[in-house]
Amino acid sequence: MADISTPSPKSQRNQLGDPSPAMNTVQTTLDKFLTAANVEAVYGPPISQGENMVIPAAEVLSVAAFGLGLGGGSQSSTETENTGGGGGGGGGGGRVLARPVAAIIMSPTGVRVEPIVDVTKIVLAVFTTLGFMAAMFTRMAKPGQRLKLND
Amino acid sequence: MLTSLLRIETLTGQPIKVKGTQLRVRSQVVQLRLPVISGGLIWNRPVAVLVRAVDGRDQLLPISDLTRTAVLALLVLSLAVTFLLMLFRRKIN
Repeated sequence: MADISTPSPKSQRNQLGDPSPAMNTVQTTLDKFLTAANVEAVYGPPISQGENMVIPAAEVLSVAAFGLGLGGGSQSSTETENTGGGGGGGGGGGRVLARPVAAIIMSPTGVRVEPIVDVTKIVLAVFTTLGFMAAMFTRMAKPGQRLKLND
Repeated sequence: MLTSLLRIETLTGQPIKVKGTQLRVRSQVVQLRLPVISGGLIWNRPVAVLVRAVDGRDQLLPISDLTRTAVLALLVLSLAVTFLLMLFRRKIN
């Protein structure tokens, strides 16, 4: 007598591969990603130097995205056994950007906030602005020159 | 729907006590969740420091981002110059 048995949900899950390790990895990474939403992510630990204490403050931008996919199928090759297969995959990526913004200085005279200026970024922005304005000026000046040539 | 996708909130940290003066740091978080794929964007920036002096006086010190202000000022300047050039050219023509 042929024993035709259908695979139990548990065995089907094993054929498809247990998704829990992948899900755990994604969950752990997402948890780490969400730590960027805390105050501690922006302010560093206080640093004491003599009578002064400094708390660094930075801006944090965190971007992440994940995706997972699982699939499977079964096929009856003979009357006696079922064969099946499955697979899954996933991927993701992310980036965390941090930029110092200010330092909170606590001295015997009081508490003050000293801004941290990124000179390189500002100089690059100045050159980009000048380049953009020069390009716009050149572009706007050209049709006038052509008109003069045509006249 | 929109509130679950975009969340803006101001967080206050634990008080830091030094020689009787208490500091409380504040940050603003902008959270954007992507609707289709799992993930999103978190932008966290320092906003202010709340200082409570020994005599109980409260003082709020705002934290300004000078680099961002300068870059935004340059952006506005370039747009204004472009707009003025277009206006000037239109008047000449």
